[in-house]
Amino acid sequence: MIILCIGDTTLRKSRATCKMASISVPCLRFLRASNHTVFRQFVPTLYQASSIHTCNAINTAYKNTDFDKSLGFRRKSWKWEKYNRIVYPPQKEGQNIRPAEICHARFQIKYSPLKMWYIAVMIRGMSIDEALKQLSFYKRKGAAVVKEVLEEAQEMAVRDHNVEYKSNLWIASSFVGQGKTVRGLRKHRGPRYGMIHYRYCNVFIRLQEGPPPKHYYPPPPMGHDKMEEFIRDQRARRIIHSL
Amino acid sequence: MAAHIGRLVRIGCHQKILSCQVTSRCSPVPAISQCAPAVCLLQVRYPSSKHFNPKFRKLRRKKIMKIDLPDYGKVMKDQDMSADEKHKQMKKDKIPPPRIFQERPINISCTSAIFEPFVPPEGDGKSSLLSTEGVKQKYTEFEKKGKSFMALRKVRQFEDDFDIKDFALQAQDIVMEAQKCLEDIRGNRNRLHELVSEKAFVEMVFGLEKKTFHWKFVESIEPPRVTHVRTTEVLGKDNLYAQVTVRIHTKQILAIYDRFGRLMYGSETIPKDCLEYVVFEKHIANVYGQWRVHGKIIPDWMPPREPLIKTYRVATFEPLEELEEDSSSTSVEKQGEDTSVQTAA
Repeated sequence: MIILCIGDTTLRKSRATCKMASISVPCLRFLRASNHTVFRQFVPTLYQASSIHTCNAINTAYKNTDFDKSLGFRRKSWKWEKYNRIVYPPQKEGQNIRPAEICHARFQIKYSPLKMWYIAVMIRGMSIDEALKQLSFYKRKGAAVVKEVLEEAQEMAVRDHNVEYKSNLWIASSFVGQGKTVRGLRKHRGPRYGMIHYRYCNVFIRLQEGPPPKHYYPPPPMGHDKMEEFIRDQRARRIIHSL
Repeated sequence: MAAHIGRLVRIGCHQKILSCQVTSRCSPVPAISQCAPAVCLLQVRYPSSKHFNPKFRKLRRKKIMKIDLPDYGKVMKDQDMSADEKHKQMKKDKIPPPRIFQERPINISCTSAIFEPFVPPEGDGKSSLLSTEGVKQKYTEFEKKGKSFMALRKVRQFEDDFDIKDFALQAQDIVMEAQKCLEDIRGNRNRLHELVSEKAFVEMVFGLEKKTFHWKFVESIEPPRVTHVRTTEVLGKDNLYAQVTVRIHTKQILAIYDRFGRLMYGSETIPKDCLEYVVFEKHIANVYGQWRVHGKIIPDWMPPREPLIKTYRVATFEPLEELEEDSSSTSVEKQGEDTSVQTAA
Protein backbone atom coordinates (compact mmCIF):
# COMPACT_ATOMS: atom_id res chain seq x y z
CA MET A 1 0.00 0.00 0.00
CA ILE A 2 1.30 3.36 -0.95
CA ILE A 3 1.86 5.43 2.16
CA LEU A 4 2.43 9.08 2.52
CA CYS A 5 3.68 11.25 5.32
CA ILE A 6 2.06 14.37 6.59
CA GLY A 7 2.77 16.62 9.54
CA ASP A 8 2.46 16.01 13.22
CA THR A 9 -1.23 16.78 13.55
CA THR A 10 -2.77 14.07 11.42
CA LEU A 11 -0.12 11.62 12.51
CA ARG A 12 -1.20 12.10 16.12
CA LYS A 13 -4.73 11.32 15.12
CA SER A 14 -3.68 8.33 13.09
CA ARG A 15 -1.49 7.09 15.92
CA ALA A 16 -4.48 6.91 18.16
CA THR A 17 -6.37 5.02 15.49
CA CYS A 18 -3.51 2.57 14.98
CA LYS A 19 -4.02 1.42 18.53
CA MET A 20 -7.63 0.72 17.93
CA ALA A 21 -6.71 -1.68 15.21
CA SER A 22 -9.31 -4.39 15.11
CA ILE A 23 -12.57 -3.48 16.72
CA SER A 24 -15.53 -5.69 16.19
CA VAL A 25 -18.62 -3.63 15.80
CA PRO A 26 -21.19 -6.13 17.15
CA CYS A 27 -19.67 -5.86 20.63
CA LEU A 28 -21.49 -2.61 21.29
CA ARG A 29 -24.48 -3.73 23.30
CA PHE A 30 -26.20 -0.48 24.13
CA LEU A 31 -27.04 1.03 20.79
CA ARG A 32 -28.43 4.49 20.93
CA ALA A 33 -29.10 4.35 17.23
CA SER A 34 -32.23 3.58 15.28
CA ASN A 35 -32.67 0.49 13.16
CA HIS A 36 -31.17 2.16 10.16
CA THR A 37 -27.86 3.13 11.64
CA VAL A 38 -24.92 3.05 9.33
CA PHE A 39 -22.19 1.57 11.41
CA ARG A 40 -19.17 2.97 9.79
CA GLN A 41 -15.86 2.20 11.44
CA PHE A 42 -13.33 4.88 11.74
CA VAL A 43 -10.90 4.18 8.91
CA PRO A 44 -7.54 3.58 10.55
CA THR A 45 -5.54 4.80 7.60
CA LEU A 46 -1.88 4.82 8.33
CA TYR A 47 -0.07 7.84 7.07
CA GLN A 48 3.46 6.93 7.96
CA ALA A 49 6.70 8.32 6.81
CA SER A 50 7.81 7.59 3.30
CA SER A 51 8.29 9.85 0.42
CA ILE A 52 10.87 11.57 -1.55
CA HIS A 53 10.18 14.75 0.35
CA THR A 54 11.26 15.19 3.98
CA CYS A 55 9.09 13.44 6.46
CA ASN A 56 8.60 12.87 10.13
CA ALA A 57 9.96 9.43 10.85
CA ILE A 58 10.52 10.34 14.47
CA ASN A 59 6.96 9.52 15.50
CA THR A 60 7.21 5.95 14.31
CA ALA A 61 10.68 5.64 15.80
CA TYR A 62 9.45 6.55 19.27
CA LYS A 63 7.01 3.68 19.23
CA ASN A 64 8.96 1.00 21.03
CA THR A 65 11.26 3.01 23.22
CA ASP A 66 11.27 3.42 27.00
CA PHE A 67 9.04 6.38 26.52
CA ASP A 68 6.26 4.31 25.11
CA LYS A 69 6.08 1.38 27.50
CA SER A 70 2.74 -0.31 27.84
CA LEU A 71 0.82 0.92 30.84
CA GLY A 72 -0.28 -1.43 33.55
CA PHE A 73 -3.74 0.10 33.65
CA ARG A 74 -6.59 0.96 31.35
CA ARG A 75 -6.00 4.32 29.76
CA LYS A 76 -9.05 4.67 27.60
CA SER A 77 -12.37 2.99 27.35
CA TRP A 78 -12.61 1.74 23.81
CA LYS A 79 -16.22 0.89 24.43
CA TRP A 80 -17.17 4.32 25.71
CA GLU A 81 -15.14 5.96 22.94
CA LYS A 82 -16.93 3.87 20.36
CA TYR A 83 -20.12 5.79 20.98
CA ASN A 84 -18.35 8.82 19.57
CA ARG A 85 -17.76 6.98 16.32
CA ILE A 86 -21.31 6.05 15.46
CA VAL A 87 -22.36 7.76 12.24
CA TYR A 88 -26.10 8.12 11.77
CA PRO A 89 -27.65 8.27 8.29
CA PRO A 90 -28.87 11.66 7.10
CA GLN A 91 -32.19 12.69 8.56
CA LYS A 92 -35.21 13.34 6.40
CA GLU A 93 -37.22 16.56 6.33
CA GLY A 94 -40.00 15.77 8.78
CA GLN A 95 -37.93 13.98 11.44
CA ASN A 96 -37.04 15.59 14.74
CA ILE A 97 -33.49 16.87 14.78
CA ARG A 98 -31.30 14.32 16.49
CA PRO A 99 -29.45 15.89 19.44
CA ALA A 100 -25.70 15.51 19.48
CA GLU A 101 -24.23 13.09 22.05
CA ILE A 102 -20.68 13.17 23.22
CA CYS A 103 -19.10 10.53 25.46
CA HIS A 104 -15.97 11.24 27.41
CA ALA A 105 -14.12 9.52 30.22
CA ARG A 106 -11.04 9.86 32.33
CA PHE A 107 -9.21 7.01 33.96
CA GLN A 108 -7.07 6.41 37.01
CA ILE A 109 -8.04 9.45 39.03
CA LYS A 110 -6.56 9.32 42.51
CA TYR A 111 -9.84 9.49 44.39
CA SER A 112 -12.06 6.90 45.93
CA PRO A 113 -14.87 5.78 43.63
CA LEU A 114 -17.32 5.84 46.51
CA LYS A 115 -16.54 9.47 47.18
CA MET A 116 -16.55 10.36 43.49
CA TRP A 117 -20.01 8.82 43.15
CA TYR A 118 -21.57 11.65 45.12
CA ILE A 119 -20.13 14.21 42.74
CA ALA A 120 -21.12 12.25 39.65
CA VAL A 121 -24.67 11.87 40.88
CA MET A 122 -24.96 15.53 41.78
CA ILE A 123 -24.35 16.71 38.22
CA ARG A 124 -26.75 14.30 36.54
CA GLY A 125 -29.40 16.14 34.56
CA MET A 126 -27.80 19.56 35.02
CA SER A 127 -26.96 21.87 32.19
CA ILE A 128 -23.24 22.04 31.62
CA ASP A 129 -22.95 25.64 32.79
CA GLU A 130 -24.77 24.86 36.00
CA ALA A 131 -22.63 21.78 36.56
CA LEU A 132 -19.41 23.73 36.04
CA LYS A 133 -20.63 26.43 38.40
CA GLN A 134 -21.54 23.95 41.12
CA LEU A 135 -18.35 21.97 40.78
CA SER A 136 -16.16 25.02 41.02
CA PHE A 137 -17.57 25.72 44.46
CA TYR A 138 -17.74 22.17 45.73
CA LYS A 139 -15.13 21.50 48.38
CA ARG A 140 -14.07 18.06 47.22
CA LYS A 141 -10.96 16.93 45.40
CA GLY A 142 -13.03 14.98 42.88
CA ALA A 143 -15.00 18.05 41.92
CA ALA A 144 -11.96 19.71 40.35
CA VAL A 145 -11.24 16.60 38.28
CA VAL A 146 -14.81 16.19 37.08
CA LYS A 147 -14.86 19.87 36.15
CA GLU A 148 -11.78 19.31 33.95
CA VAL A 149 -13.41 16.30 32.32
CA LEU A 150 -16.55 18.33 31.59
CA GLU A 151 -14.55 21.14 30.06
CA GLU A 152 -12.66 18.68 27.85
CA ALA A 153 -15.90 17.09 26.75
CA GLN A 154 -17.41 20.49 25.98
CA GLU A 155 -14.39 21.41 23.85
CA MET A 156 -14.57 18.10 22.00
CA ALA A 157 -18.28 18.62 21.36
CA VAL A 158 -17.79 21.98 19.71
CA ARG A 159 -14.67 21.06 17.79
CA ASP A 160 -15.43 17.53 16.60
CA HIS A 161 -19.15 16.82 16.90
CA ASN A 162 -20.74 19.86 15.29
CA VAL A 163 -22.32 21.31 18.40
CA GLU A 164 -23.15 24.93 17.76
CA TYR A 165 -23.32 26.43 21.24
CA LYS A 166 -21.10 25.13 23.98
CA SER A 167 -23.67 26.09 26.60
CA ASN A 168 -26.44 24.17 24.91
CA LEU A 169 -25.37 20.88 26.50
CA TRP A 170 -26.62 18.92 29.46
CA ILE A 171 -25.25 15.95 31.33
CA ALA A 172 -27.17 12.93 30.22
CA SER A 173 -25.04 10.29 31.96
CA SER A 174 -22.50 10.61 34.65
CA PHE A 175 -21.15 7.63 36.52
CA VAL A 176 -18.06 6.27 38.16
CA GLY A 177 -16.06 3.09 37.79
CA GLN A 178 -13.24 1.57 39.80
CA GLY A 179 -9.69 1.99 38.61
CA LYS A 180 -6.69 -0.17 39.44
CA THR A 181 -6.12 -0.09 43.19
CA VAL A 182 -2.57 0.10 44.50
CA ARG A 183 -2.17 -1.83 47.71
CA GLY A 184 0.01 -0.89 50.64
CA LEU A 185 0.62 -2.37 54.07
CA ARG A 186 0.16 -1.13 57.59
CA LYS A 187 1.79 -3.03 60.41
CA HIS A 188 -0.20 -4.05 63.44
CA ARG A 189 1.01 -5.79 66.57
CA GLY A 190 3.15 -8.88 65.95
CA PRO A 191 3.08 -10.52 62.54
CA ARG A 192 -0.24 -8.92 61.64
CA TYR A 193 -0.64 -6.54 58.75
CA GLY A 194 -3.47 -4.48 57.49
CA MET A 195 -3.99 -3.69 53.81
CA ILE A 196 -4.19 -0.08 52.73
CA HIS A 197 -6.01 0.51 49.48
CA TYR A 198 -4.94 3.50 47.41
CA ARG A 199 -8.06 3.75 45.37
CA TYR A 200 -8.44 5.12 41.86
CA CYS A 201 -11.61 5.83 39.98
CA ASN A 202 -12.73 6.35 36.40
CA VAL A 203 -15.29 8.98 35.53
CA PHE A 204 -17.64 8.64 32.56
CA ILE A 205 -19.64 11.54 31.17
CA ARG A 206 -22.16 11.75 28.36
CA LEU A 207 -23.21 15.17 27.18
CA GLN A 208 -26.29 15.73 25.09
CA GLU A 209 -27.18 18.80 23.10
CA GLY A 210 -30.22 20.78 24.13
CA PRO A 211 -31.74 22.23 27.26
CA PRO A 212 -31.73 19.97 30.32
CA PRO A 213 -34.93 18.03 31.02
CA LYS A 214 -37.23 19.14 33.82
CA HIS A 215 -36.90 15.85 35.66
CA TYR A 216 -33.91 13.55 35.26
CA TYR A 217 -35.43 10.86 37.44
CA PRO A 218 -39.20 10.38 37.30
CA PRO A 219 -40.66 12.47 40.09
CA PRO A 220 -43.00 10.90 42.64
CA PRO A 221 -46.65 11.22 41.62
CA MET A 222 -48.54 14.19 43.01
CA GLY A 223 -52.13 15.26 43.05
CA HIS A 224 -54.42 13.56 40.60
CA ASP A 225 -51.84 10.99 39.48
CA LYS A 226 -51.14 10.04 43.05
CA MET A 227 -54.81 9.53 43.73
CA GLU A 228 -55.19 7.36 40.64
CA GLU A 229 -52.26 5.23 41.69
CA PHE A 230 -53.67 4.84 45.14
CA ILE A 231 -57.04 3.77 43.83
CA ARG A 232 -55.41 1.33 41.42
CA ASP A 233 -53.37 -0.29 44.17
CA GLN A 234 -56.36 -0.55 46.44
CA ARG A 235 -58.42 -2.18 43.74
CA ALA A 236 -55.61 -4.64 42.98
CA ARG A 237 -55.76 -6.12 46.46
CA ARG A 238 -56.76 -9.77 46.53
CA ILE A 239 -57.15 -12.42 49.15
CA ILE A 240 -54.64 -15.06 48.17
CA HIS A 241 -55.42 -18.76 48.26
CA SER A 242 -59.06 -17.93 48.54
CA LEU A 243 -61.83 -19.85 46.94
CA MET B 1 -21.11 30.07 79.84
CA ALA B 2 -17.40 29.31 80.17
CA ALA B 3 -18.21 26.45 82.52
CA HIS B 4 -20.69 25.06 79.99
CA ILE B 5 -18.02 24.99 77.26
CA GLY B 6 -15.50 23.43 79.60
CA ARG B 7 -17.86 20.57 80.34
CA LEU B 8 -18.30 19.90 76.65
CA VAL B 9 -14.56 19.82 76.12
CA ARG B 10 -14.06 17.21 78.86
CA ILE B 11 -16.65 14.89 77.27
CA GLY B 12 -14.50 14.08 74.26
CA CYS B 13 -11.56 15.84 72.75
CA HIS B 14 -12.02 14.12 69.39
CA GLN B 15 -15.45 15.59 69.01
CA LYS B 16 -14.16 18.78 67.63
CA ILE B 17 -16.30 21.70 68.32
CA LEU B 18 -15.36 23.80 65.39
CA SER B 19 -18.30 26.05 65.42
CA CYS B 20 -20.19 27.61 68.21
CA GLN B 21 -23.16 29.28 66.71
CA VAL B 22 -24.36 32.24 68.65
CA THR B 23 -27.64 33.82 67.75
CA SER B 24 -28.98 36.99 69.26
CA ARG B 25 -32.61 37.79 69.24
CA CYS B 26 -32.40 41.50 69.69
CA SER B 27 -35.47 43.31 68.41
CA PRO B 28 -34.92 46.17 65.96
CA VAL B 29 -36.29 48.70 68.43
CA PRO B 30 -34.01 48.23 71.36
CA ALA B 31 -35.67 48.30 74.73
CA ILE B 32 -33.19 48.00 77.52
CA SER B 33 -34.86 45.17 79.43
CA GLN B 34 -36.22 43.24 76.44
CA CYS B 35 -32.88 42.69 74.66
CA ALA B 36 -32.05 39.07 75.62
CA PRO B 37 -29.47 37.40 73.40
CA ALA B 38 -30.05 33.63 73.14
CA VAL B 39 -26.92 31.54 72.75
CA CYS B 40 -27.33 28.40 70.71
CA LEU B 41 -24.42 26.03 71.13
CA LEU B 42 -24.46 23.62 68.19
CA GLN B 43 -21.94 20.84 68.43
CA VAL B 44 -20.84 20.39 64.84
CA ARG B 45 -18.47 17.62 63.81
CA TYR B 46 -16.50 17.69 60.56
CA PRO B 47 -14.72 14.57 59.27
CA SER B 48 -11.10 14.40 60.25
CA SER B 49 -8.52 11.73 59.66
CA LYS B 50 -6.51 12.77 62.67
CA HIS B 51 -6.08 10.35 65.54
CA PHE B 52 -7.59 11.54 68.84
CA ASN B 53 -4.30 11.16 70.68
CA PRO B 54 -1.51 13.12 68.98
CA LYS B 55 1.08 11.74 71.38
CA PHE B 56 2.10 8.65 69.37
CA ARG B 57 2.05 10.19 65.89
CA LYS B 58 5.64 9.32 65.03
CA LEU B 59 5.32 5.67 65.96
CA ARG B 60 2.10 5.38 64.08
CA ARG B 61 3.79 6.88 61.05
CA LYS B 62 6.51 4.20 61.13
CA LYS B 63 3.88 1.48 60.86
CA ILE B 64 2.89 2.53 57.33
CA MET B 65 5.00 1.25 54.41
CA LYS B 66 5.67 4.25 52.27
CA ILE B 67 4.70 3.76 48.63
CA ASP B 68 5.44 6.15 45.81
CA LEU B 69 2.16 6.28 43.99
CA PRO B 70 2.69 6.58 40.25
CA ASP B 71 1.39 9.79 38.75
CA TYR B 72 -1.02 8.29 36.23
CA GLY B 73 -2.12 11.67 35.02
CA LYS B 74 1.43 12.50 34.01
CA VAL B 75 1.92 9.10 32.40
CA MET B 76 -1.17 9.53 30.29
CA LYS B 77 -0.13 13.02 29.29
CA ASP B 78 3.27 11.69 28.27
CA GLN B 79 1.61 9.26 25.93
CA ASP B 80 -0.20 12.10 24.25
CA MET B 81 2.89 14.13 23.56
CA SER B 82 3.93 14.76 20.02
CA ALA B 83 7.29 13.64 18.71
CA ASP B 84 8.89 17.05 19.19
CA GLU B 85 7.76 17.26 22.80
CA LYS B 86 8.97 13.73 23.44
CA HIS B 87 12.30 14.63 21.97
CA LYS B 88 12.60 17.60 24.34
CA GLN B 89 11.51 15.52 27.33
CA MET B 90 14.00 12.79 26.53
CA LYS B 91 16.73 15.39 26.31
CA LYS B 92 15.75 16.68 29.74
CA ASP B 93 15.75 13.20 31.22
CA LYS B 94 19.04 12.49 29.43
CA ILE B 95 17.69 9.41 27.67
CA PRO B 96 19.44 8.77 24.33
CA PRO B 97 17.21 9.32 21.32
CA PRO B 98 15.75 6.28 19.60
CA ARG B 99 17.36 4.72 16.62
CA ILE B 100 15.62 5.63 13.42
CA PHE B 101 15.61 2.90 10.85
CA GLN B 102 17.48 3.97 7.79
CA GLU B 103 15.66 1.60 5.47
CA ARG B 104 12.34 3.19 4.68
CA PRO B 105 10.02 2.54 1.83
CA ILE B 106 10.11 5.47 -0.53
CA ASN B 107 7.05 6.48 -2.43
CA ILE B 108 7.83 7.86 -5.87
CA SER B 109 4.43 7.82 -7.46
CA CYS B 110 3.68 11.49 -6.82
CA THR B 111 5.38 14.76 -5.98
CA SER B 112 4.66 16.82 -2.92
CA ALA B 113 3.50 20.08 -4.44
CA ILE B 114 2.20 21.83 -7.50
CA PHE B 115 5.18 23.19 -9.37
CA GLU B 116 4.83 26.62 -10.96
CA PRO B 117 1.12 26.85 -10.30
CA PHE B 118 -1.15 28.31 -12.88
CA VAL B 119 -2.38 31.79 -12.03
CA PRO B 120 -5.95 32.00 -13.26
CA PRO B 121 -6.80 35.34 -14.81
CA GLU B 122 -9.05 37.49 -12.72
CA GLY B 123 -12.64 37.71 -13.81
CA ASP B 124 -12.64 34.23 -15.26
CA GLY B 125 -16.01 32.55 -15.04
CA LYS B 126 -17.94 35.82 -15.02
CA SER B 127 -20.44 36.23 -17.79
CA SER B 128 -19.24 39.11 -19.94
CA LEU B 129 -18.17 38.93 -23.58
CA LEU B 130 -15.02 40.94 -23.24
CA SER B 131 -13.59 38.91 -20.39
CA THR B 132 -14.17 35.58 -22.10
CA GLU B 133 -12.39 36.80 -25.17
CA GLY B 134 -9.38 37.83 -23.24
CA VAL B 135 -9.40 34.57 -21.42
CA LYS B 136 -9.66 32.62 -24.64
CA GLN B 137 -6.66 34.44 -25.98
CA LYS B 138 -4.59 33.32 -23.06
CA TYR B 139 -5.63 29.76 -23.51
CA THR B 140 -4.88 29.57 -27.21
CA GLU B 141 -1.56 31.32 -26.75
CA PHE B 142 0.22 28.45 -25.19
CA GLU B 143 -0.43 26.18 -28.10
CA LYS B 144 2.09 28.02 -30.27
CA LYS B 145 4.79 29.17 -27.86
CA GLY B 146 5.64 29.39 -24.22
CA LYS B 147 6.62 27.12 -21.37
CA SER B 148 3.43 25.11 -21.53
CA PHE B 149 4.06 24.36 -25.19
CA MET B 150 7.57 23.11 -24.46
CA ALA B 151 6.30 21.05 -21.58
CA LEU B 152 3.62 19.61 -23.84
CA ARG B 153 6.27 18.53 -26.27
CA LYS B 154 8.15 16.78 -23.47
CA VAL B 155 4.99 14.97 -22.47
CA ARG B 156 4.47 13.89 -26.10
CA GLN B 157 7.95 12.35 -26.04
CA PHE B 158 6.76 9.82 -23.50
CA GLU B 159 3.13 9.65 -24.51
CA ASP B 160 2.71 9.87 -28.31
CA ASP B 161 -1.01 10.19 -28.51
CA PHE B 162 -1.52 12.86 -25.90
CA ASP B 163 -4.29 15.04 -27.22
CA ILE B 164 -5.29 18.09 -25.22
CA LYS B 165 -8.98 18.02 -26.03
CA ASP B 166 -9.37 14.32 -25.28
CA PHE B 167 -7.38 14.70 -22.13
CA ALA B 168 -9.57 17.55 -20.94
CA LEU B 169 -12.69 15.38 -21.25
CA GLN B 170 -10.92 12.47 -19.59
CA ALA B 171 -9.81 14.77 -16.79
CA GLN B 172 -13.33 15.93 -16.10
CA ASP B 173 -14.48 12.33 -15.88
CA ILE B 174 -11.69 11.50 -13.46
CA VAL B 175 -12.57 14.40 -11.18
CA MET B 176 -16.25 13.57 -11.20
CA GLU B 177 -15.62 9.92 -10.43
CA ALA B 178 -13.22 10.81 -7.65
CA GLN B 179 -15.78 13.10 -6.03
CA LYS B 180 -18.40 10.38 -6.25
CA CYS B 181 -16.03 7.90 -4.60
CA LEU B 182 -15.80 10.15 -1.56
CA GLU B 183 -19.30 9.05 -0.58
CA ASP B 184 -17.89 5.77 0.67
CA ILE B 185 -14.20 6.25 1.30
CA ARG B 186 -13.55 2.90 2.88
CA GLY B 187 -15.34 0.94 0.20
CA ASN B 188 -13.91 2.89 -2.72
CA ARG B 189 -10.42 3.38 -1.38
CA ASN B 190 -8.72 1.32 -4.06
CA ARG B 191 -10.44 3.15 -6.88
CA LEU B 192 -9.83 6.45 -5.13
CA HIS B 193 -6.12 5.76 -4.99
CA GLU B 194 -6.16 5.07 -8.73
CA LEU B 195 -7.88 8.36 -9.48
CA VAL B 196 -6.22 10.63 -6.97
CA SER B 197 -2.57 11.08 -6.05
CA GLU B 198 -1.42 10.52 -2.49
CA LYS B 199 -1.04 14.20 -1.78
CA ALA B 200 -4.53 15.03 -2.97
CA PHE B 201 -6.02 11.97 -1.26
CA VAL B 202 -5.14 13.39 2.12
CA GLU B 203 -6.63 16.75 1.29
CA MET B 204 -9.82 15.25 -0.06
CA VAL B 205 -10.44 12.72 2.63
CA PHE B 206 -9.41 14.55 5.80
CA GLY B 207 -12.37 15.41 7.99
CA LEU B 208 -14.82 13.14 6.22
CA GLU B 209 -14.34 10.16 8.53
CA LYS B 210 -17.40 10.74 10.66
CA LYS B 211 -19.50 12.58 8.13
CA THR B 212 -21.88 11.62 5.34
CA PHE B 213 -20.97 13.05 1.98
CA HIS B 214 -23.59 13.36 -0.77
CA TRP B 215 -22.39 14.64 -4.14
CA LYS B 216 -24.00 14.81 -7.52
CA PHE B 217 -22.86 16.04 -10.88
CA VAL B 218 -25.64 17.98 -12.58
CA GLU B 219 -24.18 19.28 -15.85
CA SER B 220 -21.15 20.97 -17.26
CA ILE B 221 -21.51 24.65 -18.11
CA GLU B 222 -18.46 24.92 -20.36
CA PRO B 223 -16.37 22.19 -21.96
CA PRO B 224 -13.25 21.46 -19.93
CA ARG B 225 -10.05 23.04 -21.13
CA VAL B 226 -6.37 22.46 -20.46
CA THR B 227 -4.79 25.72 -19.37
CA HIS B 228 -1.31 24.89 -18.18
CA VAL B 229 1.27 22.16 -18.62
CA ARG B 230 4.52 21.78 -16.71
CA THR B 231 7.09 19.05 -16.27
CA THR B 232 9.56 18.65 -13.45
CA GLU B 233 12.53 16.43 -12.77
CA VAL B 234 12.89 14.90 -9.36
CA LEU B 235 16.05 13.17 -8.16
CA GLY B 236 17.51 12.62 -11.58
CA LYS B 237 17.43 14.04 -15.02
CA ASP B 238 15.11 11.58 -16.68
CA ASN B 239 12.70 11.12 -13.78
CA LEU B 240 9.96 13.36 -15.11
CA TYR B 241 6.60 14.23 -13.64
CA ALA B 242 4.06 16.15 -15.66
CA GLN B 243 1.42 18.39 -14.14
CA VAL B 244 -1.49 19.60 -16.22
CA THR B 245 -4.05 22.14 -15.04
CA VAL B 246 -7.54 21.73 -16.39
CA ARG B 247 -10.28 24.33 -16.11
CA ILE B 248 -13.59 22.71 -15.26
CA HIS B 249 -16.84 24.70 -15.09
CA THR B 250 -19.71 22.57 -13.89
CA LYS B 251 -22.88 22.50 -11.84
CA GLN B 252 -22.66 20.29 -8.79
CA ILE B 253 -24.81 19.40 -5.81
CA LEU B 254 -23.08 18.90 -2.50
CA ALA B 255 -24.54 18.09 0.90
CA ILE B 256 -22.46 17.16 3.92
CA TYR B 257 -24.15 15.72 6.99
CA ASP B 258 -22.50 15.50 10.38
CA ARG B 259 -22.29 12.45 12.64
CA PHE B 260 -25.93 12.75 13.69
CA GLY B 261 -27.39 13.05 10.21
CA ARG B 262 -27.91 16.79 10.39
CA LEU B 263 -27.13 18.92 7.36
CA MET B 264 -23.87 20.74 7.91
CA TYR B 265 -23.09 22.27 4.55
CA GLY B 266 -24.70 22.66 1.15
CA SER B 267 -28.04 21.40 -0.01
CA GLU B 268 -29.48 18.29 -1.66
CA THR B 269 -31.55 20.20 -4.18
CA ILE B 270 -29.82 23.45 -5.12
CA PRO B 271 -26.96 23.02 -7.61
CA LYS B 272 -23.96 25.32 -7.48
CA ASP B 273 -21.77 26.62 -10.26
CA CYS B 274 -18.25 25.44 -9.64
CA LEU B 275 -15.27 26.82 -11.49
CA GLU B 276 -12.31 24.63 -10.63
CA TYR B 277 -8.71 24.59 -11.76
CA VAL B 278 -7.74 20.99 -11.10
CA VAL B 279 -4.12 19.92 -11.38
CA PHE B 280 -3.43 16.42 -12.70
CA GLU B 281 -0.15 14.69 -12.32
CA LYS B 282 1.49 11.76 -14.02
CA HIS B 283 4.82 10.12 -13.54
CA ILE B 284 5.54 10.09 -17.25
CA ALA B 285 8.92 8.40 -16.89
CA ASN B 286 7.07 5.42 -15.43
CA VAL B 287 5.43 3.05 -17.89
CA TYR B 288 2.60 2.43 -15.45
CA GLY B 289 2.02 6.05 -14.59
CA GLN B 290 -1.55 7.29 -14.48
CA TRP B 291 -3.06 10.71 -14.76
CA ARG B 292 -4.39 11.42 -11.31
CA VAL B 293 -5.85 14.42 -9.51
CA HIS B 294 -3.01 16.11 -7.69
CA GLY B 295 -4.61 19.24 -6.32
CA LYS B 296 -6.71 22.25 -6.96
CA ILE B 297 -5.80 25.88 -7.47
CA ILE B 298 -8.05 28.28 -5.64
CA PRO B 299 -7.34 31.83 -6.78
CA ASP B 300 -7.64 34.78 -4.42
CA TRP B 301 -10.30 36.50 -6.46
CA MET B 302 -12.65 33.53 -6.24
CA PRO B 303 -15.76 34.44 -4.24
CA PRO B 304 -15.81 32.71 -0.86
CA ARG B 305 -17.67 29.46 -0.40
CA GLU B 306 -21.10 29.26 1.09
CA PRO B 307 -20.84 29.47 4.87
CA LEU B 308 -21.65 26.53 7.12
CA ILE B 309 -25.21 26.27 8.30
CA LYS B 310 -24.23 26.59 11.96
CA THR B 311 -22.34 29.46 13.48
CA TYR B 312 -18.94 28.81 14.96
CA ARG B 313 -16.06 30.60 16.52
CA VAL B 314 -13.09 31.23 14.30
CA ALA B 315 -10.17 29.53 15.95
CA THR B 316 -7.07 31.56 16.66
CA PHE B 317 -3.78 29.77 16.31
CA GLU B 318 -0.41 30.64 17.68
CA PRO B 319 2.08 31.52 14.97
CA LEU B 320 3.99 28.46 13.81
CA GLU B 321 7.64 28.31 14.72
CA GLU B 322 10.07 28.63 11.87
CA LEU B 323 11.30 25.16 10.95
CA GLU B 324 14.98 24.70 10.24
CA GLU B 325 14.26 22.03 7.65
CA ASP B 326 13.49 23.06 4.09
CA SER B 327 9.93 23.86 3.24
CA SER B 328 9.35 20.85 0.99
CA SER B 329 8.02 18.85 3.93
CA THR B 330 4.29 18.48 3.62
CA SER B 331 2.27 19.87 6.47
CA VAL B 332 -1.46 19.59 6.72
CA GLU B 333 -2.87 22.82 8.07
CA LYS B 334 -4.22 22.64 11.59
CA GLN B 335 -7.77 23.36 10.66
CA GLY B 336 -10.86 22.85 12.75
CA GLU B 337 -13.42 20.39 11.57
CA ASP B 338 -15.64 23.18 10.34
CA THR B 339 -13.11 24.65 8.03
CA SER B 340 -11.77 21.42 6.60
CA VAL B 341 -14.33 21.14 3.79
CA GLN B 342 -12.08 21.39 0.79
CA THR B 343 -13.65 19.41 -1.98
CA ALA B 344 -16.54 21.72 -2.76
CA ALA B 345 -15.76 24.68 -4.92
